[in-house]
Amino acid sequence: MKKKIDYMKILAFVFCVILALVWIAPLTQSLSTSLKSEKEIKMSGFSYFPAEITFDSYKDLFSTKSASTPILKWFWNSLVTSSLFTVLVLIISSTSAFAYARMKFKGRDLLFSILMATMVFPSVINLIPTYKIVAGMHLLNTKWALVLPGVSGAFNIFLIKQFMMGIPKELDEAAKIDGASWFQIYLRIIVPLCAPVLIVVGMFAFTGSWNDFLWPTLVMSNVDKMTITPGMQILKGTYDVYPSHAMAGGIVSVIPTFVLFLFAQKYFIKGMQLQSAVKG
Amino acid sequence: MKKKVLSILLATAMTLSLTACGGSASTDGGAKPASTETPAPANTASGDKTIEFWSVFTGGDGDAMQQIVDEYNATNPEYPVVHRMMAQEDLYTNLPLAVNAGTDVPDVAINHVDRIPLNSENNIYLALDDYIAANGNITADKYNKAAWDAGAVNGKRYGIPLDVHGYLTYYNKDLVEKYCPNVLDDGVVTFDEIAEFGPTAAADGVYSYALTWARNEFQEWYAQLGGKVTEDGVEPTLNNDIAKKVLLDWKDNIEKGICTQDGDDPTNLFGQGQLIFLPEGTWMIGTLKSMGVNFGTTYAISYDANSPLSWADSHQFVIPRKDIDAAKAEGVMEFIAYFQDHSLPWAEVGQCPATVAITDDAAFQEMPQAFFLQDPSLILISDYKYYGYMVSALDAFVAEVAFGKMDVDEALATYNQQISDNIKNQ
Amino acid sequence: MGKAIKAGAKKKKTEITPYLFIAPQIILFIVFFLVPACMGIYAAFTRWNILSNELPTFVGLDNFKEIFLNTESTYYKFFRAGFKNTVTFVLLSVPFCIVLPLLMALAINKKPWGHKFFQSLFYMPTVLSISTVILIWYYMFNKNLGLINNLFHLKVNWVGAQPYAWFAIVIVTIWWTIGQNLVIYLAALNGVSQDLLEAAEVDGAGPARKFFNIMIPSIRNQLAYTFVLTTVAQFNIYGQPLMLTGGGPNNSTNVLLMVIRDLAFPSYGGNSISGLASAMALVMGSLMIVIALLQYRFIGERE
Repeated sequence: MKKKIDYMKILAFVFCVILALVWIAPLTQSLSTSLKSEKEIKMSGFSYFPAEITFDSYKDLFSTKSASTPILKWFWNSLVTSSLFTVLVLIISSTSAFAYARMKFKGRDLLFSILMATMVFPSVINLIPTYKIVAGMHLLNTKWALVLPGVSGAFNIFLIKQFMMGIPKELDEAAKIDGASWFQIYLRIIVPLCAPVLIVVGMFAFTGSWNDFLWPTLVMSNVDKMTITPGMQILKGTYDVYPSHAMAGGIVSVIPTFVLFLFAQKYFIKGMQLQSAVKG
Repeated sequence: MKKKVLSILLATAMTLSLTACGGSASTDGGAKPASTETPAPANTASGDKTIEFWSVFTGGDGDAMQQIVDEYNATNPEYPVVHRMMAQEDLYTNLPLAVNAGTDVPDVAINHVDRIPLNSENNIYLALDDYIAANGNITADKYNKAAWDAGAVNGKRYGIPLDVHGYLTYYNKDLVEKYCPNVLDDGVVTFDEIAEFGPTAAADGVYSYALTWARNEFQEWYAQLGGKVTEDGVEPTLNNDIAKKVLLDWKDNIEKGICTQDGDDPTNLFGQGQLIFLPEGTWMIGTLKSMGVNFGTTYAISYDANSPLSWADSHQFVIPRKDIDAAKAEGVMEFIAYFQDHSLPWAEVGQCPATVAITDDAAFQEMPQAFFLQDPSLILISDYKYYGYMVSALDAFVAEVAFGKMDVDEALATYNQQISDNIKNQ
Repeated sequence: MGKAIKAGAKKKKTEITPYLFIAPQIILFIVFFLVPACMGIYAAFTRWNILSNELPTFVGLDNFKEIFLNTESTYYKFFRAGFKNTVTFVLLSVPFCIVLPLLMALAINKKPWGHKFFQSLFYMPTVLSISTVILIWYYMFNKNLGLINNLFHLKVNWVGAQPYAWFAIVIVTIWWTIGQNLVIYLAALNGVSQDLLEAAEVDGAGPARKFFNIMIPSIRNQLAYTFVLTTVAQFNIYGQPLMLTGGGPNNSTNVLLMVIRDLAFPSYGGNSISGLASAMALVMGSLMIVIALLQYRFIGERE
């Protein structure tokens, strides 16, 4: 009996190793390409490893010389935009979820159902008019064009509300007797208790905003205001000519989300599980 | 009670701050020179004293333009220039929006000359004739004729040329020596000649020419054979035997291994000595130099040795429609005129500056692209109003047909109609 | 008296407070969701150049006639092709995006050596952006310089010929997105009753029987949930073909969102044709809603 179980375990291990190779290969290949010189790629074609390791592509990317592919600036813009987006999402969704979860008011259930119904509404229908609205508000080429349209997403409210409903109502009652206002209850009691779900929502908001692609290409045109994800497309445009530079840019662009992932992977994974738990 | 009021205030403040920030962000975006490369002009305080300049340049081109702008600003002009680079699709989406909204409109912009016919009809530009007259320094004789002529529509001038950039043929000198030593004696390689040496080279695994940017190559060969993209200036006329011949000849050469195959990377093949003639843009000169290939440049591969028509486009300065006071407009004109003598850095990234002063300069004459401007009649610059719809269609079918993935008759019929449908439904 | 008034006033205030809490979200929701949604639906019945100042012109059902009935029109052709390509992608990718992560979850659930590492590794690509993912994979698929062709000594033109172009797009999609379903299944498998499994083992059930008779029914909800979510997500396919294949070869990967974007925001110039684009978007959106509802319904009945 025991032997049989080991056999399955070995099979599982082999399966995982094979897949892991597929998962890793593109990453190592990109790293290797980014460490080659452009000349080596042009003249000698494919090789697994650089004949000579050079950091020239990285140096070029970060040199102040290039005003046209200002990777550092894109990086900074992304950092600012995604952080702002995350903070706003957390404030707006948690206050809203708080009201739906802990307070009684007229039209609450109706409003919440409407919100939930919009989750299946395909964003493709909104795309063109939202652009027109943002343009009409003169927000094109400002970070608000990237931040505001996505902030009111219903799914975050849903996640947070579900979590808040699990917190005993007695806490509110006790606090009220002590003379606390709703805002104090929200800030001092509920928000700290909701930390796990807020971390999860915040991380998804951050990576979602960092990785946003179609929308930023529409609303951010100035090269020096662009974020890094659409910026990558400009880099890819130069791919045919400068693969090493393009790969170096690609690697630099993943660093923040990758680092965030390494530090917080258990939350990421919890977040996904949380999703299925509430839904399933 | 107090706390409650506080909570109310806080919530409202939050909403207000959102809208407020939105508002300030937009004005901010318009007036503040954000480019780090621009030396802060002494008079930034009043936003009106700077010229907002949008360009379609990214990559090395953007850097070269920035260099010229910096040099211009270093001359302490009354109106310093703030240069904003963007990908061209983005500029072409945002320019009409800005003009129609009437806010954040740039004072001067670079547009491709092929955009001018439709954009001028859509009332996106100011006519420049009065400003040019007032300046007095910007005259036809100072510019390349083909580029200058292309900047006017129905007798009104909307564009002042910065450059001509085009498609030329790079050749690997060593390979030419080996396979076709005498074909370039007249400076032009023809398809008849390729038919002779092509198979020999193909037997060695060497391609004679390449499919690179299919739409440009197609336009050249179509025009060389007398094809017209439109008869009346509106309806496209691509569905004909000339187009079919171009595509089928191409397909044939690909099948024979004379032209590069689907998925190949022609620039790399050229670098590795597996390609004799590389049709590519003037803007690739720097890249090819860095690869260390022993190369020369000539006109487009041609059906007719006497008329090697080569595709070209021209970047032009335009003034988007807005209320601009005469003094500032004059500042813009001065900026544009500055390029007449100072656009050598622009030539160094492979462009052909459109001003005679530069093209007569010995430094330019030595550059590989210099020959391109010698005969304006060999330059093919489109004046078709619906060039945008046309090239989108060309992008979608030319390479596909040449690589044998799409039927030629169906492709020509479908895409000619697509252009036509788009014109009708726009 | 005074007390009563005060109490009344207090009560009124408490009624306002909840609305203040939801106000920021509701305002943004109206401006950036409700209004554009209504405009988007209305736009489908108009002719509209969004880059101009002109208001949309109402044209009734013309746009729908054009894309559904006018067989002569190129919009009819490209809409149909875009639609077909999108559905093809959904059919090709959804099974892999369900079955493969399930197998991976089963393997990891066996807790082989390094299972924590595998779990993190397989999940990791989901935090990358689509443009970076394509940047990386575009190079992998390169005919002459790519790892795949060189490793296996192939000369396949991955992004330029069928069926390889679909392979490439599906492979990239799997690599990029599969982690989400993987962790959902992992969590679900964790919750499968060990007692049941052990009981089955005592009865002499093999791995296959345990899997189909115990595990699958236990995680049915999660399977259904991921099925709905994955399907809806795959309908929104855009970045992969845009940057990998450009819609080719022969328009076979030109998906509906690309058709819509090209009409509304023509990349090489020409005026925007947003009315027709909105009509296509509305059709696509409606279909997505119907599919999502059908799937939910189906699940509901099973429960």
